[in-house]
Amino acid sequence: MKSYRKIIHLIVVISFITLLIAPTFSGAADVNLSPALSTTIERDYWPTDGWLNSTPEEQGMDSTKLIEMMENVDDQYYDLHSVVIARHGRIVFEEYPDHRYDADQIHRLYSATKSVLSALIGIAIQEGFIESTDVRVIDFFPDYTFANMTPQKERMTLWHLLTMTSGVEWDEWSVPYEHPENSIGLMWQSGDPIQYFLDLPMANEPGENWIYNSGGSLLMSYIINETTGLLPLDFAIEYLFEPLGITSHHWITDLNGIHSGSGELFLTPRDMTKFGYLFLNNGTWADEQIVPAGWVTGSTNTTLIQDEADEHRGYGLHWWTRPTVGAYYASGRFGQHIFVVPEYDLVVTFTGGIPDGDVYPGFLLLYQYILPSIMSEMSTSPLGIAPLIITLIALVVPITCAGLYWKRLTSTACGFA
Amino acid sequence: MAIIIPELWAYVLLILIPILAISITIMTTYYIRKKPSSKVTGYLSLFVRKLEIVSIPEIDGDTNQSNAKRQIVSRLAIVYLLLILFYLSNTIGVFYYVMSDVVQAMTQGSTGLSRIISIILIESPFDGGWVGSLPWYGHVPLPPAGVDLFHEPWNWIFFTAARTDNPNFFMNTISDMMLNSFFFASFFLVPLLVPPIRKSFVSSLFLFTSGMAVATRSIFGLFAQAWNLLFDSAIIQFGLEQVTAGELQVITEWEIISMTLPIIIVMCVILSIIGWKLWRSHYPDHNRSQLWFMLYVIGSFWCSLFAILIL
Repeated sequence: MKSYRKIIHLIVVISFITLLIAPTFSGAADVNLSPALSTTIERDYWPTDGWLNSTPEEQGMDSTKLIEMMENVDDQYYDLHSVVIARHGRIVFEEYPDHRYDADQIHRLYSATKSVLSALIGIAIQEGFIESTDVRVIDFFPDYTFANMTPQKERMTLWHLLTMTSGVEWDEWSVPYEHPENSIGLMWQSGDPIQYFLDLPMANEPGENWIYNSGGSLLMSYIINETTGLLPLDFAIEYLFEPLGITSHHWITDLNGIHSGSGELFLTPRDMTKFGYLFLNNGTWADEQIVPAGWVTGSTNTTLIQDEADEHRGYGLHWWTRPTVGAYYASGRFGQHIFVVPEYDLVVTFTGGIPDGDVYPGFLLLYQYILPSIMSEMSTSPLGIAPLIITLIALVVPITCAGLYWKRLTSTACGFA
Repeated sequence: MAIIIPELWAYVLLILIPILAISITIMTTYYIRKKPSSKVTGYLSLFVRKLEIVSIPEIDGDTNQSNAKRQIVSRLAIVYLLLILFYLSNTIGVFYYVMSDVVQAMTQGSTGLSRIISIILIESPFDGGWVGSLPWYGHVPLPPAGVDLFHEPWNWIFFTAARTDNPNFFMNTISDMMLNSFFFASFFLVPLLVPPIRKSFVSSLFLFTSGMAVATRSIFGLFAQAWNLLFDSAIIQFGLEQVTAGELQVITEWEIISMTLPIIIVMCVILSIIGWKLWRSHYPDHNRSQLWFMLYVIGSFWCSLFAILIL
């Protein structure tokens, strides 16, 4: 009988130890990658008059990862001018690694301007200045002549300009921007960039091939000017910047005095973040629909895979997309980025001076540090307290059954007695 | 709290676990035989000698009451032993599940998707014991950054399968994983052919339950991943990146389910037969306990699959 007592003692000890360690382990996974599913969040304020600040931890982020990010920026000598991270409507991280830049200083967006331009086109359609994206390009410029006119050129629409599929003969990536044979350079050197663009011969059927084309973006600045009667900046101030509380801005004009939508807008990093936040909120700002929700969806959905060899990178309506990732971004030369990650209610802005030819670190920093800093927030056990409950059941049920059986056995015996 | 096992240690453990189990069994048997009356032998004998089970007598006096009590305690001890073995074997099962993936060579085409195995991580041994969650580190060059994120084997394999241009990758991986699992399971099941090990009560049950968990975990995982893909429609990696069922070009999730289910059923039958024979070697005359043990084997088999499925 002694050995059986030992067994019981052993069970009691094991049960006790299990109960002790259960709470330690049951909520303890470090890396659960379940994504946040909600993208529609009620806002308690709008940063029109300025962003509210918060700590990363208060918004579910791990600040140590963000500190590591900045150490990496230092170690790698990335020429970053600013990093602004906004989560749940609060700025949780803001750094200006280059002492020449600060929160109040406007920074050139370069081609990230194109995403702002796209929003202006969406607004112009919402306000009735432009009928739709199906309007033919030639119809916007009745006073212009068109060399090399073909049926293909007649079929070119605003949609094709927005999706970089105009089909015109164009090459701005094969040679450096400063090279005289770059299409952009040729366009500016022509003296009349719009006439130059409209006269270009067609290389493809519109809508067929994606070719990065800043000339089309410039053309859309003119379309805004032609259709609204306002300069692009004035239109932007009235319909976009003022509602968002963006007061510090600068937009370079071309030779004709039109603000160039291809890459000449300047905003502060915080205001760039506001623009991303507008898209994060489906175009809504302070209960007002600034950009049509459908336009936001259309802009940020992948219309085309940018490169057949790289299925992970796509293009919407002047927004870059990641077809396999729930994120989209405005991107400009030298490392200007506005990342919008709806799954995590996150907007990240980078400005920089990364030299041509170097990999822009924005995505690297986003994936290596910023997203993991959020993922650590979701460090919950995949089972929650289930293992604890299962263990308790496993421990208690057999001994209870045995006890009940013993009781039944002895009571039957008593009955007989 | 997660347990992190460096890759080298994982390989050492891979070989060490069955060797340790067998060595302890042999040494214990030897020690008991050599010093049958020592105090240590009394404790060690619990691991080797079976607990006597006879029918519980009707209580009609002090003697029978004592016998009945002893029989109930014996049964209770066996139940707890089997519960502990279920937990332990599942933990070992998930470890070998990951290792059956880690040891195989990978060629994933030209997409640059790669896995980097530097450590193996048990999210929590407590969870791992019941359902198994033992991922390893995968890497995708999008962007070109090595992010310290961990992935469960089939989850990552399905994800990479959809991203690779290597048509052989997925089917090769499936067959390799299965073969590796069966090979590792043999570490635990083959020693049962040796009579002294088979007759060691706790050791033989440990080897059997562990062998069962190791043999089945990979195919359970494959089945569960295909099942989840069928109903959840997407695998999510890095918290963002999605792969849908339609992207699996080599094989569909229905094909995987229809291919794996017969194997799972056959394995259930084979393992039940092994379990039945093993229990009979301990309790040849106690049919009722054989029935209960068969229920345990079949129940734990399907419980393990169910636990993987619902997670």
